[in-house]
Amino acid sequence: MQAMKKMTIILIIMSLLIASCNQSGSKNSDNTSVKVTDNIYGDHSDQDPIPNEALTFDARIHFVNFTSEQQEKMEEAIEIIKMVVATEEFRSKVLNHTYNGKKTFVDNGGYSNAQIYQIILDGAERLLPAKNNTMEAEVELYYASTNVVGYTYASSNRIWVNTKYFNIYTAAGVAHNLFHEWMHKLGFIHDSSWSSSRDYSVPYALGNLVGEIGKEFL
Amino acid sequence: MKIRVMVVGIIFSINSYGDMEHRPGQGIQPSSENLSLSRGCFKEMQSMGCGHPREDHGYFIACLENNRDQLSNNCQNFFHRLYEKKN
Repeated sequence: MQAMKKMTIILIIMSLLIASCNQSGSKNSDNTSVKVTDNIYGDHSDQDPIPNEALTFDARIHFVNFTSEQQEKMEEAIEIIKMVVATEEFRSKVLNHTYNGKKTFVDNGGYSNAQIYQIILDGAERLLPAKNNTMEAEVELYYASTNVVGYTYASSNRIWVNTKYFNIYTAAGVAHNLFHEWMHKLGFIHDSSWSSSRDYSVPYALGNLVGEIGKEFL
Repeated sequence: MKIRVMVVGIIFSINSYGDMEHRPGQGIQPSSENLSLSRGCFKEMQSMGCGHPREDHGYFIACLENNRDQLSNNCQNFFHRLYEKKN
């Protein structure tokens, strides 16, 4: 009887802990951070004209489990991402992003803001490392009643997006989430649970930025 | 019993902490004023034959540079924020 009680308590504790993890905005199993090996990226400056790769930035997304209406919404979100990346405002806000008074991102993998901007334009995902100036991923829709908006794994090209949120978000909101998850595909990570600095990580800060600027294209 | 109550209390506090988390994509709802401004400005550009950045970005930007003066002040500011260097 005592053992039964203990087992019940353990099960309750475990289920509550799992629920807590799933309340994060997104989850990512990528514990490997991008590392600077050498300075292969030219430094961008505010004074330079917007680079051509910002204007030619493209996307190649494979849709899994989408209705035609959902695919249309995702395609609009992708168009928004492309238009946002092509703006001076996006470039300027990436280059001038600050945390604690310094021009930097949290969990920046050792990269400067200018290098992070170039990494985005290169579009070289960890698993698809060709620098093809293209955002590439598979996106699969699923439904769960949890608070997870979307997630991905370091070992997969796929991004999972929860229709609980996808269906009610504007295309700019979808763009926000997709860009956040794609930052993980480029190797950027963030705290798995809320912290005061997490919004300054690359996935959160740039997802937010795409969502904010993206609103102008709705 | 006291220990059990403490454990359950800690777990519930972790859960309520989780509820404070930011969720990507949440709150991306433009105000109707912002929406009408941005749509109005892109419409102004289209009426000048500049198209839309989703069609031909390069042409749109070149056209913006050539026709900036003909835009309303609000739209000049709007496109300045999006497409022009701040310094």
